[in-house]
Amino acid sequence: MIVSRFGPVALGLALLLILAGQSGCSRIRPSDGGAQARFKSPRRVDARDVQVPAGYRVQVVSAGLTFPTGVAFDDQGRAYVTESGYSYGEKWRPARLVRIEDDGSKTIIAQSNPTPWNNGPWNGVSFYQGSFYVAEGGEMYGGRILRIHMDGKIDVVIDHLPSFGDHHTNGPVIGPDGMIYFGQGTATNSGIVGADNANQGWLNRFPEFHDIPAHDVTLRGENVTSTNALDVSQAQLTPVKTGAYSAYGVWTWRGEVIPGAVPCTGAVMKAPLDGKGLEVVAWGLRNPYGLAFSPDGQLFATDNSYDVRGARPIYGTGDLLWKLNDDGRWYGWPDYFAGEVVSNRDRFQAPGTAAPKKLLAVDPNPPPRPDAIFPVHSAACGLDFSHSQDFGYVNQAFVAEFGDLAPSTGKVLAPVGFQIVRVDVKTGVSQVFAANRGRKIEPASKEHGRGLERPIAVRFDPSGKDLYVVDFGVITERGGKTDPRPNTGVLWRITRESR
Amino acid sequence: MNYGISKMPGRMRAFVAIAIASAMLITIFSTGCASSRRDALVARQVNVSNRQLEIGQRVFMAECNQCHPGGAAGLGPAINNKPIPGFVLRFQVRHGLGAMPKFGHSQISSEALSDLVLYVKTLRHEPMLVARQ
Ligand code: HEC
Repeated sequence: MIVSRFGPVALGLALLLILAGQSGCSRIRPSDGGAQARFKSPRRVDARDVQVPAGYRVQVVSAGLTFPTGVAFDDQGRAYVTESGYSYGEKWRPARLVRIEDDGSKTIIAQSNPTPWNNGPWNGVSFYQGSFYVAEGGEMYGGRILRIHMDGKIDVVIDHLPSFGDHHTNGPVIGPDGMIYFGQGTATNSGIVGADNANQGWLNRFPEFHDIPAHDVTLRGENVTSTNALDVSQAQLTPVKTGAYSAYGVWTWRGEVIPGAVPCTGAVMKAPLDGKGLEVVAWGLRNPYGLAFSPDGQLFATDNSYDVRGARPIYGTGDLLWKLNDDGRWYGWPDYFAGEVVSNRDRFQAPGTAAPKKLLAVDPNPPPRPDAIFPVHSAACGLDFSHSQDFGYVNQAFVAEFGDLAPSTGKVLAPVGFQIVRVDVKTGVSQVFAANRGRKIEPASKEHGRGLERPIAVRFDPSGKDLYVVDFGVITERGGKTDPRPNTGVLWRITRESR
Repeated sequence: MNYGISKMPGRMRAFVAIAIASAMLITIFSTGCASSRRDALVARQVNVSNRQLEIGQRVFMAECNQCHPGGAAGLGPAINNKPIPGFVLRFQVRHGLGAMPKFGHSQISSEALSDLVLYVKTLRHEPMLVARQ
C-alpha cells in the first residue's frame, strides 16, 4: 500500500532528497577542524578549564615549552621533558631535554646543538639505569636513538635509521628485558612515493628514498602514474610511473620481489642498550608513535593510519592500538587497515579518487585485528598504562589524542581528538578521561579557553599516582599554512584526590 | 541510482519506503545543513548496564566510533543530536548512504545490530556524567 502510494518514481525522488540532504550536507559543509582557529599569543592556561572524572584534579606543572613531545622521570622522581625541535609547518629549533623544577622552571640538560641541530624531531624519552633514551626523528641525517647522561653528554646508540620520509623514529621505551624498543614510521602514506612527498619537502632532498620491508615481499606490479613532481618544467610532458617499495619513478612488475632489510620502515624494532644487533619486533605498521608496556609486560603501540593523499589515498581509517607479539609478525600495511583489505572500494575509496589496489601478491601472514580503534584524524600518540590503585583504572591504557590538522590532512565536520582517552584493551572500548569543558571537545585556542591544546604524550610517574600529560601547544591552519606556535607547550598533571 | 529497490520484494519495499520517508523528515526537520545542535557532551561516560548494551558498545567502538566519535561529529556527522528511529539507523548501517560505508551481515550480525541500535540511542540520552569541579 505504501509502496503504491509512493511509487518507484517517488521512491527515487525520496532517495535523491535524502542523498542531497545527507551526503550533500557533509560534503558541502566546510571543514571545521581544531586547528582552524584564530590564536593570539600568549597562551593562557587554567586547570579549571579541563574536565576529568569526579575525584581527580588537574594542575599545571610547567608552561611556555616549545613543541614538547615526551616526559620521563629520573630515580628521584623529577620530571624531564623533550622539546622536539621541529614541528609540522617546518619550524626548526634546537631539540632539548629539560628538567622541570618544583616551581615549574626549566633547566636545560642537553641540546641537539651542536650535533646536527636539524635532525629532529626528538620524539619521546625514557629513563633507565641513570640515563635518558631519546628517539631523534632524523629528518636530515636519518633516525637515531640517543643516550643522554645526567651531565648532558650525548651518545649515539643506534643511527642510520630510515627516517627521511613522511614519518620518523619514535618511542623509545625500555622493556622488562632491558632492551630498547622503538618505532620507525613509513616513508609514504601507503607504499608508493608520489607528489605528496614532494610537497612535504623530502622527495626533493632524497629522491631515491622509499619504503623498506622487513622481509622479502612479492609485488602484484601495481604502479601509479603521475606528472613529474621533481621536475616542474617537464611536469606535464613526462609522466612518472612508480611502484610499491620503490624510488619515485621506478616501476615494478607482477611477481617482482623486493628484498627485505633491517632496519626497515613501518616497524617496531629492538636492540640491547649498546645498540648492536637490531631485531624486528613487528612490521607492516604505518607510524607506530607511542609505545608502552602494560603492567603484565605486554608491548602496545599506537599506530597512525592512512591519509587521503598522494599516489594511493585511503579513506576513513582511524588510528589503531596494537598489542604487539614479539615474533616479527606483519600487521597489514600497506594492504590492510585493522585486518580489512583496503581494496574494498565501498569502504576505503575516497570520493573523487581512484580505489586503492592491493600491492602485495602474497600476504606475509594473515593480518591481525587491532585492540582498539581511535577516531579518524584524532592522531593517537603517546600512551601509558595505569598500574596503581592510587590512581585507579588499573591495566587500562591512557592515550593522548593530538587532534586533527584539518583541512590539510583531510576535512572534518568538527574537531577530532584534543583529549585523553582511557582504553580497556580487553574490549577495545575507549572513554574520554580528560578534555576541555564546553559544548564540544576542541582545543583551547579554538574555544578561547585556557585548557588543553594538543596532548601528545602521557606518562605515569614512578609511584603510579600521578598522570603527566605533555601538551604540544598551539598549531593553527590558515590559508593553507600550518602555523605551530613556539612557547605554547604545557606539562599538566592529573592526580586522584579522593577514592 | 535506485539501489535495486524495484527488484525488492513487497515487504522490503514498504520498509524501504518508510525508512526513506522518516529519513527525509529527520533530515529536513532536525539536521538541516546549518545547525547541528550538540549539547554538552564533553565527557561521555556511558554506563553499560546490561549485556546488550555492552555488546552494542563494543560494536560501536569497533565500527562506528572512528567516524562518529562518541556519537559526535568527526569525519561523519553527529548521530547523538537528533532522534534517529531504530530502523533508519539499521538502514544507514546496512546501506551506507552517502560517504558512509555499508556494513554487511558478516561484519555486524542482526543481533549485534540490534544491540548497536540500543547503544546508539543511549548516546543521545546519556548526559555528561563527569562531574564539574
Ligand atoms: C568511515 C567513516 C564512517 C563509519 C565507519 C561509519 N560512518 Fe556513519 N556516516 C559517515 C558519514 C561520512 C556520514 C554522512 C553520510 C553522507 O551524508 O554522505 C554518516 C552518516 C551516518 C548516519 C546518518 C546521520 C545523519 O545525520 O543523517 C548515521 C545514523 C550513521 N552514520 C551511523 C553510523 C553507525 C551506527 C556506524 C557504525 C556501524 C557508522 N555510522 C559508521 C561515516 C561513517
